[in-house]
Amino acid sequence: MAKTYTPIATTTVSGTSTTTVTFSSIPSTYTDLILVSNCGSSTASDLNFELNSNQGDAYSWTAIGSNGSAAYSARYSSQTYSGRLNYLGYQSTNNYSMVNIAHFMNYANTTTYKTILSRSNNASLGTDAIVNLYRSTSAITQIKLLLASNWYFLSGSTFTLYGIKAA
Amino acid sequence: MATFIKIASYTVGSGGTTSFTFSNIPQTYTDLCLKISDRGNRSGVFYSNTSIKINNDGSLIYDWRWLRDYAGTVAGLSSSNDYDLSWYSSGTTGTASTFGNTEIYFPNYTSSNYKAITYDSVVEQNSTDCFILLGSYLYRSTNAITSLVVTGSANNYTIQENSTYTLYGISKS
Repeated sequence: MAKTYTPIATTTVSGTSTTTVTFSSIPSTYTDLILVSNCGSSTASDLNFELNSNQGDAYSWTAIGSNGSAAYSARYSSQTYSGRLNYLGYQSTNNYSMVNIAHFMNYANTTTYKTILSRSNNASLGTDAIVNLYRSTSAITQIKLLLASNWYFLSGSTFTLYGIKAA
Repeated sequence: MATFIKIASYTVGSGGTTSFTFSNIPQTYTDLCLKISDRGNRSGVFYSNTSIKINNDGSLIYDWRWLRDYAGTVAGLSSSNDYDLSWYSSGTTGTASTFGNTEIYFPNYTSSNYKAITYDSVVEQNSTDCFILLGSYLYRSTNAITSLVVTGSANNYTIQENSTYTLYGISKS
């Protein structure tokens, strides 16, 4: 039986200086990746990601969500620097209240662009679903998580990357 | 260590039930995931209501925000100081043999922080009525999650036979 949800790496933030979290040298031996983040930030911020150190305009994304009183949608193309795992600043100072689960589909293939499906939640701010397209045919070997304006992740924030095998 | 391990599973038997409990949840995993296929007996509508009281805690410390599609109408909803975590299941006037499906994810369930929880839930059937829910919860307790009490909501709807609930543990090491 194929192994599934195999932990690849995990990070727990300590102190007040961690502005980015990076998973490097991601093995190409899985089919998909799952990233589970349970975190907060020094100032309300979206959770962004940069792949393979690519800061070009290779990212586009579409979101649907709710702030608890109204539904919304958003669409951005040719975004530079990073993709987006949530939309309305869900990562906040409210004690690790942000949960994000992101699926990096078929991340190791060298033929197609990469799709990332993301679900984000903060019970005091909203909930949303985002699809990102990363326009690169290179295998994803590095995922860097970052906040806006170099704000820092709260101590105790956790990030775990899992691998899933199709066979 | 292998992960996404089944901790316990509950299949509702003949006659249904209004409540059951996942108790003595091991504290050895990082996250929990509960996968659900259920149907209730709320009368007159295509859906029913099911809910969880974490650690059998019914105090007003559950906050939530939803994105909901109800039969093609999209809305945002929210509540603070609620007394449980709830979702929709299939109900009495729903298409026969259909069950709602819900996945609830509890990260860092043993931590001493408040517990942020996410879920996706659907009631799909062969009519214009349906539900899609994207849910975000915060359980404002610093206690580790050791039990999940599943009920047919505060209205004590009966959860129907063949409804299934499976609890998994996910470990980061």
